[in-house]
Amino acid sequence: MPTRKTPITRYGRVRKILNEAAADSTADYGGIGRFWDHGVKRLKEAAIHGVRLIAPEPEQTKTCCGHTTTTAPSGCSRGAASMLVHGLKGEAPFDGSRFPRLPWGGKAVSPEDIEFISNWIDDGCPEDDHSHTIEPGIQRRETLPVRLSVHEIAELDLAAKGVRAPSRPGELRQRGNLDCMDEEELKRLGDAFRYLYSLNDWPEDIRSYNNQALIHQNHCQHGWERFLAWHRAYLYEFEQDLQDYDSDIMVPYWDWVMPQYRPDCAQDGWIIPKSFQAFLTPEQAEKLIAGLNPSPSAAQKQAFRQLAGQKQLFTSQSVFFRYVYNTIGYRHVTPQADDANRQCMIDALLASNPFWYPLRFPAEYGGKTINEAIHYHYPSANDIQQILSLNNFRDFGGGSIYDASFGFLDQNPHNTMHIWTGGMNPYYGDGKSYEESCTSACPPVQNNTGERRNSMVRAGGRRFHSRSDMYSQPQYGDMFSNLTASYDPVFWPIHVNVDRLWWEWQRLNPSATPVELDAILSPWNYTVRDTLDAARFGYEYVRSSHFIPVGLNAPIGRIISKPIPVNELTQGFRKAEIRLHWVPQLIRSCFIRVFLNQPGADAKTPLQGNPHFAGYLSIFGHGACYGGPGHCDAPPPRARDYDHRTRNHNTPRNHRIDVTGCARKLLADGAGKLQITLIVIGADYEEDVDLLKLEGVSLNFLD
Amino acid sequence: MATYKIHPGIGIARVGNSDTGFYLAPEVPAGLPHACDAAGNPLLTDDLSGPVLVKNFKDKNGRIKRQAARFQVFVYDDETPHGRPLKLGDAVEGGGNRGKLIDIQWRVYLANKKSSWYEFNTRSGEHGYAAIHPRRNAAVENRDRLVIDPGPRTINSTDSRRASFDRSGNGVYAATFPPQDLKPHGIDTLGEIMTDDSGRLLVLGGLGRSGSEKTGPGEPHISHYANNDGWYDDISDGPVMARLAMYSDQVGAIRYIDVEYPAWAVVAYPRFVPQIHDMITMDEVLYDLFLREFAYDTGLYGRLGSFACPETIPVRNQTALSQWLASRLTWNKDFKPWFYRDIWPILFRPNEFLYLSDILAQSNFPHDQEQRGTFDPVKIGQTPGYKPKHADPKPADICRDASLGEAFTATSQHRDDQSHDPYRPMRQFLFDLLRRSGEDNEFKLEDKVGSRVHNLPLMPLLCGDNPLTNEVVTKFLRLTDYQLFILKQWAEGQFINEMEQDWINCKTYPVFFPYPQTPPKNGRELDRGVLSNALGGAFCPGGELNWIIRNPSIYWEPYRIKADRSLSDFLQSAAQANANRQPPSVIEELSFSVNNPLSQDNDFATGLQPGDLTKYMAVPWQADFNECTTNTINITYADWNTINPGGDNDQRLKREEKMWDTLWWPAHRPLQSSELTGFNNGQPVTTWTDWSRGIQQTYAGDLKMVEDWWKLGFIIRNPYMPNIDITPSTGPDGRYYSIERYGSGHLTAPDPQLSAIINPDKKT
Repeated sequence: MPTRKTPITRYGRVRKILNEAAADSTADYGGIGRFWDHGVKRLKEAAIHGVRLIAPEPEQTKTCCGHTTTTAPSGCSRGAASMLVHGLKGEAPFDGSRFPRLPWGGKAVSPEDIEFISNWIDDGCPEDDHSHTIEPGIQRRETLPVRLSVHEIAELDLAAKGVRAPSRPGELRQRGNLDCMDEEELKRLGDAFRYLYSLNDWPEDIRSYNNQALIHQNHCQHGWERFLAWHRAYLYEFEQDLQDYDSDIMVPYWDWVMPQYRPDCAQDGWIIPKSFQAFLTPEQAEKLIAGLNPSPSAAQKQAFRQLAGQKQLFTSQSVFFRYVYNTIGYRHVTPQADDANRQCMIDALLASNPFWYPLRFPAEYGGKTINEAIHYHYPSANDIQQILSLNNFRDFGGGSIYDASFGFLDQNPHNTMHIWTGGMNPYYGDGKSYEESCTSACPPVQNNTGERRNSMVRAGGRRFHSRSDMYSQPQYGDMFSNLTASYDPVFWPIHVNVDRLWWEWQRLNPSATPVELDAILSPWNYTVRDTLDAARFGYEYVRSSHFIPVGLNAPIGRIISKPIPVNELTQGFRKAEIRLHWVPQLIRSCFIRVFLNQPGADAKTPLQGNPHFAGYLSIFGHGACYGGPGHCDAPPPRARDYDHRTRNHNTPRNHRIDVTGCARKLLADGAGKLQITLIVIGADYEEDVDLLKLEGVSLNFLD
Repeated sequence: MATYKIHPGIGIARVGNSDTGFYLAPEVPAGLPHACDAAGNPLLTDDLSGPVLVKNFKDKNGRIKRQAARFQVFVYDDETPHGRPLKLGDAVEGGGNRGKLIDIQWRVYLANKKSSWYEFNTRSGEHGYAAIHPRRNAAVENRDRLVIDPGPRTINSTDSRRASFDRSGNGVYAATFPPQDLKPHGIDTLGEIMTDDSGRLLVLGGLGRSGSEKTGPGEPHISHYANNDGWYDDISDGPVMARLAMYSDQVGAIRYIDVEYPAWAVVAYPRFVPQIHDMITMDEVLYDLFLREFAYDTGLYGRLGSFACPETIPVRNQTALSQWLASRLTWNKDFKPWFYRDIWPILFRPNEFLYLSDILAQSNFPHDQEQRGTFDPVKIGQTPGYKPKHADPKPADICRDASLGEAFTATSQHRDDQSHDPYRPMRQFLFDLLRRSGEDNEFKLEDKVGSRVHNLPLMPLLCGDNPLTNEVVTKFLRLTDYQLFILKQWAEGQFINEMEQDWINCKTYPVFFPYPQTPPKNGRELDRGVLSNALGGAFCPGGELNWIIRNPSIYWEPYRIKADRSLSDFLQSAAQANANRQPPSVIEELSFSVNNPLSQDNDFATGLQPGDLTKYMAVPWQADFNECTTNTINITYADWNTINPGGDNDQRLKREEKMWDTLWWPAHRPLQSSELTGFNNGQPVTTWTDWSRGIQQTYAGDLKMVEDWWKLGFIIRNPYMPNIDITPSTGPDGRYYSIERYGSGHLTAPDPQLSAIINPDKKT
């Protein structure tokens, strides 16, 4: 009868691994010898020079909140927390500083074997089990609801699209990510742009788009330390101009390095934000069909309608016209500036999208890539990280008047994005057609185009934003040159992003400033120093923000939002944060617990090990009022005239809770939406339904 | 993402009067310098396994070769978080560009501000000079002309590889130099820079020339060890910056990126005894400083209760660092130093001084490391409870117990006892003898109630930062806090003996030359290796630098001097060079941006300027160098260095006055040595003699030293004595001797066949 081979136990294998590695070393480990050879019990207690090798068994303990929790050191597994594993890996303190790598005098243990030992420790260092007997998984104990303390509360809806959180005195407003804005927000922004365009009819109205752009043409600062300061002021002034039309408007930023732009082969990515690309609305498609002469065929009409219906996007007019000519097959159109059908189409495109601009040829360099043609490359996330790691202002933002040097942010990516979005017009010159390919017809690029970008565009004699200008066929897009750049609306999100990067860098380098802080930034009266603190201009940067109005009328014990869609573009956030807006003084102290995607959560819902528990906040109670009527009323949002007393301590305040870890994990596991549940917990660890008042809750994603 | 850093953070160059001969600074503790060719490329041994160590410290004309401070760029990235040397041709990235490294531009700015700075007066000024503190050359109104400012120099690794800090200003800078006719020696250069074939930078300092601009009868003359109006020397220091030039295939263009932060070059006088460590090295001073002030190793020194999970404090976040500094900081009492790595090198050192001075022999060899000695490493290195494998049948015989003076006590414990610790009293005795914080002025503790050491002088018995005046008296040297801490752990038995643990081989480990001799593995080891050969005290003013180096305000981070970047960095930003499409051969150094002369004052908030470290040192350096042999310290009263019994006709005080002749820093300034006089049967013949004989300990002698410093001999380990690394010193056994003294026929130690002995193979 064949004998069954007794499989080696896992502990036996651990010993074997360690003994093989230790070989013939005589190290005695501070007197305890080969500590792994004396049984599991002694191994679990073994310590070398006071350093315990196996992390203690996680204990079931009561937390202050009365919940059962499992404590593992620093959140990692028992194996990973064990000094034996650190020692075998040669990590501190076994990195040669305090002790050499384990085992002493022998050879290193392979990563696979270390993993085996670590797993064995994770499983509680069993003495006599075998590799194949391991049961993964731990049974979870369902917690039964004891009682329902509050009645069902309806899910609260998000604020109307495009409406931002009400801004209270001293509260920063949010400049968001252009690509994370929804249609309604974009429409409001577009309407504001259209309003400024419309003011161009009054050439002396300072508010007009052209006059705003003219400020850049006449005063802009590049290639030295005023670059960032000047543009921060410029963006603010323009934002104020927009807000005069619609006070909810904040200028968005274009984060060029998001994955959809495929920075490593940017000509194959989005190229520019979709919201700034050309498209036809159905209404404009009909107008266009009616306006073309000769009239398109039925099939061509159908193709135009389909193009509008699908909101097909084109990065530039040249791409659009080639589509019309070659794909739709409507060939009664030429690149001539005075071609009536072409003008008709440009009119339709302009009417369809206020952010589209015809004198913009992004990523077009006569058939070459920007790398080949201009010797600059589209910025990647890694590039930006490198630039953010620079540790002095000159290298980051530019040198002083005695050292008029480019900073990296200014020189590239900023210059590159100008060149990228400006591009080169493939139909510059006369007598060409919209045949499929135009590379042969394109003029060669000069080797130093990148450096000479500011002298490449003609500004003199133009009537910006006039129809004739829009129909023209210049050699380069307007973004190519500082003189004309801001006539193209894509200037703004690019520069807002430059400002955002400075804002980020300032947090990393709080004391790094330009040299000449007292210099005036013409044409305004700001000094460079005035621009250092972006908060002075009332904004911060968030990727996207969702506001849920609640209302201050009645206390609320539990807040459940409608599920908030989080699209893919938003998901790469650095931080997710829930803010409670305008919370008045509370009489009693409380915790506010946040759960995501667990609408049924209540005071008994477990916190530890619950992937839906996102964090908590504690608010210190103010105590009962001992005064007469009105003594503890919240003060009015804005102080009375001539009330110069310091801020009232009963002024409502905002609170924020970091929910990054929980949100990121839920989204990574496939949740496309986040639903917020806030539970107010009183000092007795029961829900307190009659305490918290607030104006609203917001979910914010930060870059 | 990759970061680029220059190492060493502080490099040490040394003057020499040879205008052509030079060698490379040692990069390991107590190491000999490395030999190199005329372009600065290190010479390798025949089997290419390591550097060729210097055998001749002087050129064929008998002039001292200069020591080059070598700097190189290290890259830190995910692959090598502790850094590796960057090589031409490597992939590099930065500023949003990536490419292949095709060149490194180096920018160095050396200056000498000694003659316009404050007069050195012991510890005055350590925390800022008072406005009334006198300046050197106070009568000179044009202060700017007192600064030797040759301007910055920039070179690359390809076609422009040398530059000189001479009077030319390189054609673009209006240099400031003292008059040409200084006596006895004029100064026309502060040195030069060059790149070797691997793109590393070499900084060579001055030629050791010092002179006075005063004329007339009796001039030039010297009347002070540190301050002499009219005098200049060619010592200098200043920032070192590097710019990487890469060719980017991505865009077909050249792109530039600067390294993270400048390094610093310091020029000092020659190291005549390269293989003997000072009692406290500059590395030890800085390591202690960074532990205590910069949270450098929070597992060793940190917040009470945090040692199980040490914190990481971002050192450039002033708020976080201040918060940490304000918390309850302490040493980790569970920390176990290693005996041979950490403890023994400290205890080993003082015995070496017997080869540099008569004093230890005259004191009957108090640091004896032989079997009968107080410093026998076999005994004092044995951990409690350790059972020797080949036990000596006789138990440990003698132990000295400080609390009982020199009395002998026998061990009482049985040797099988787990707590068997026969040598605890020996360790405790040595530790008790050490001077602690607050005992800087105590010669011995006899007048203290409860004195732990009876009637024995405290150690180290070397001069302190101020044994001269009555202001902030610091008579004697004491070990750093870190050193005292680990010695306390050791005394209490909290230590590891690497031989007991089989980490090192007890037969081959060089117990009697206990310094790592393998090349630095990373940038930090290079930082520390270089600094370990510089003097860490006393600072009066010191060897290379003075007490300014222990001021936390001058550091940007550990091992990196905070630089005024308007002076240290390339005048044109790297981004601008990108915009200009500049080829690496064009080294743009427009001088129009230098709108202010080098400052007469410090601005630690902005950073240090060229010359700001060495300006504290003596001018000319030869005066202080000559005088720093011994100092007669008045030990009558702890708080007073000078007393005046004559003023009160105090006969009692006159009678009771006590003095102690105390050594300064013999490893930097030897007193006596065995001098090689010839060979007999292939063996060296030596004579014990005064090292700088003929140069008196007077101001006239100081002036002689200005002329004759380069004639002195270099003291090296005797290459003819076998096994001196593994056998203890037996007193005056000739294991060091002086070579190449001027007039001795340039006797160099070994003949060529014996080079293997002078370059012992340390690979064990």
